[in-house]
Amino acid sequence: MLPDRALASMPSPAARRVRDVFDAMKVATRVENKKVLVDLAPSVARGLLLKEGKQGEPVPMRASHEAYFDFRYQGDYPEMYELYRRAVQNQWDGDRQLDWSTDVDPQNPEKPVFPIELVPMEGLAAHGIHLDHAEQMRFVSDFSCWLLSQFMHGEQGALFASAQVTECVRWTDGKFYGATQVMDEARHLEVFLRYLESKLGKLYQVNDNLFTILDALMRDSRWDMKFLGMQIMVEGLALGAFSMMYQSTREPLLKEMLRYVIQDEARHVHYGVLALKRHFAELSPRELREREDWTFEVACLMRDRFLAHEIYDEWFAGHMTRPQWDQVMSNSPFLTQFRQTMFKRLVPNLEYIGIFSPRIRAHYDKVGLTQYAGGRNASELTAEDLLAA
Amino acid sequence: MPSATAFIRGWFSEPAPTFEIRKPSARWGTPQPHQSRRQLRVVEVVQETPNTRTFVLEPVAGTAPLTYRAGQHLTVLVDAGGTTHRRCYSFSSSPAAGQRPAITVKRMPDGVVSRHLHDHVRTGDTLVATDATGHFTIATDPAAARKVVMVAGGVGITPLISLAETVLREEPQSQVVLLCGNRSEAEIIFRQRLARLEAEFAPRLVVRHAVDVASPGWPGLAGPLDGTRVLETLGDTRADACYVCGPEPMMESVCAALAGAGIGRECVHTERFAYATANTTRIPDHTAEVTFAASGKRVTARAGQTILQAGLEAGIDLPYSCTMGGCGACKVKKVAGTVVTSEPNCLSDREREEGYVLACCSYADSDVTIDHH
Ligand SMILES: Cc1cc2nc3c(=O)[nH]c(=O)nc-3n(C[C@H](O)[C@H](O)[C@H](O)COP(=O)(O)OP(=O)(O)OC[C@H]3O[C@@H](n4cnc5c(N)ncnc54)[C@H](O)[C@@H]3O)c2cc1C
Ligand code: FES
Ligand SMILES: [Fe+2]
Ligand SMILES: [Fe+2]
Repeated sequence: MLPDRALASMPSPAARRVRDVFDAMKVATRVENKKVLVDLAPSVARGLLLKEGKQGEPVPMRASHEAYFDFRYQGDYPEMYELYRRAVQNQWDGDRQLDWSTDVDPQNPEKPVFPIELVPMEGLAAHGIHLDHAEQMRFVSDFSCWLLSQFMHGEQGALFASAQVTECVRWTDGKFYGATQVMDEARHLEVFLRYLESKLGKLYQVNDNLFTILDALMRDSRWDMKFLGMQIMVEGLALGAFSMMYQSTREPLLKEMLRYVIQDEARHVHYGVLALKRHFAELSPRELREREDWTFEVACLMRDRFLAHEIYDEWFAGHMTRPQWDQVMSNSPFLTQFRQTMFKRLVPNLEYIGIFSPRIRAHYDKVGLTQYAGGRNASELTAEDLLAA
Repeated sequence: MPSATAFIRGWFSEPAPTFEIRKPSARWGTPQPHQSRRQLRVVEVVQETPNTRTFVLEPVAGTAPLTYRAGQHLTVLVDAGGTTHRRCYSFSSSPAAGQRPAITVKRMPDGVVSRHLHDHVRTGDTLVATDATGHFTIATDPAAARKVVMVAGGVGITPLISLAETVLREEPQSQVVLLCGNRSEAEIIFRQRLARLEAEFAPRLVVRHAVDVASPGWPGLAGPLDGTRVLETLGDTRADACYVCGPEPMMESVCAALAGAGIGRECVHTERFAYATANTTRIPDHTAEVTFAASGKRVTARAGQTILQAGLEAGIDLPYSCTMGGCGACKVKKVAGTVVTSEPNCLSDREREEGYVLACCSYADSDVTIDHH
């Protein structure tokens, strides 16, 4: 652990940097598989240390995958073709089908974008912070913007990743399908951006952990890593998050929008599962192991992304330390439930595609991520266990 | 490397804010209110019975006329408790009679929307609704000479009175037999309007009322209007088409009786008020049996349990993936019974017509039989 007292005597920008370095090292030391470490380290450095996503400038990312041309047009995959047909039939128009004339006031307690229970009242109170009702509404509003901004950044990633994957995938039917996903993701980016810009009026920068994941999978030359990272991890978790948001929001436009997005995302995850199930069946045990380890790291990064450091910086930077904030967030009942819903559907998918061996399960157990899979270990795990990760 | 310089600078100066205040980009344009929603003014409210009211509607100034076909309904949108509730209401007016469009609503004691309409909506108020939709209609033909039998239970009379009047006006040689079931005499909806129609169109229109609880001297039929009673009353009347609308148990009994009497399925048209249409999904709050034909397994789906959940729990190896109606992996063919399915979902119109349902987001509303597994 970092000596909080030592940091407290430092100028705050420097203390912040020390924490960044420490966080990056924590990720690096957690990774046991050296190959995975080599793959992820540059992205971790760019995301957590250099904070490339937060410089207010375009971020070029060099991709190094191979486009897979096949002029024989073989490699049928009927289930993928069926999914393609479904996608074609279910295209929707975000401009016409959503009622953008809806008035949205994120601070209206009658129709909150997210429930007020989102405020970690008890956790904040433990640090002597008490928000009055108006402040709570403003916090919920900011947190909603933050969350939706992160999903929007994820959608940009999904747009590029699905385009890359369409180039790389080996089945003609997969290429058909992939093109529909590219269109879907463009629409998602469009509606999230439009909602944030025209209804909430605030955009948050990309979270460092999310940036790290996007950076890693955009640059990876192996198509299946892109699939695994985007279709299974990012999209699978987003799907869980969207359904939770769908259920908890009282804002009609967002609810309607999420309903459409969820339908598309469900297809995307299914596509990833179909593709990887076939592909992983042909990999060597060593290759599979590497994918298991890589996935586990991405899962941890994803979990930590919801610690919302951008919100901490904006709201509480002077009032508590970042580790204290991390603890408040980890213990918040609403966010715990949020993480649960997100991770619940992930494990069955990992099992199905064959990268959830007892070995890796122990890792997930250790960091408390399997408690989200059907609540197996939930009763035995405490918040300390969660934080110890 | 700008980020490296920024990294070094970061040790000495506070970082820039993590957010940016944004104005809507010009590309979004000025949003128009949703095309399919419209505003209707309530121009008259008529108390039909102690718990039903008719709301006569008119498009607000400057909007398109409200066109509909007899038997169709519109969806009313009501904001309450922070969400928008959508409920369908059939037109009780007949477009053929030149009447102003009207809906007739029964007040449900704990109903969100029907209570709102009864307790808060007055003449002069506006309602938000969609345009008319629905297939419970009749294609009239002035040359037709047919006998149409209609069976209404309670507020199920709404689309039927509209259909009856339309047929009588547009098909001068057709006949209508209308059987209306109600709990008591006081609850008979449109009693006078029906009497006037009967007088105007005799002998082409015959209306018979049945009440569950008859008071002494009641001239009509006594006892519930079920399948047996309907056949009894019809006697040897030969129906070319039947239209049925009412509470679920009554409809089941009537449809079974009509089928038993040899009336072809294609001649019997039904409208279910309890039924979920797109965006109005109501998850059944009762248990139902689900039979998987191939294995012969029967499972009981609890209230709120999807067919997929019920099947998996019973150890049936059903395929699925997203569990959210998005991928189609859980598609199964339903051969009997009714289900309620969350909308939207990825089934194509063709699959719907062929009887496919998505197990992951369908709930058994009656006992259901699934083809495979
Ligand atoms: C095509 C169509 C046409 C319709 N036309 C008319 C019409 O002309 N006139 C009219 O009055 N109504 C009509 N309805 C019914 C109407 O849409 C509403 O369902 C009704 O008014 C109740 O809504 P509510 O919001 O008041 O009640 P809710 O808040 O939805 O519920 C009211 C009560 O009824 C129970 N309930 C409601 N539906 C069900 C169900 N399916 N299964 C079990 N319990 C249920 C609830 O549990 C609750 O106790 C029609 C429905 C459809 C689908
Ligand atoms: S499991 Fe995907 S549609 Fe049902
Ligand atoms: Fe997406
Ligand atoms: Fe997606």
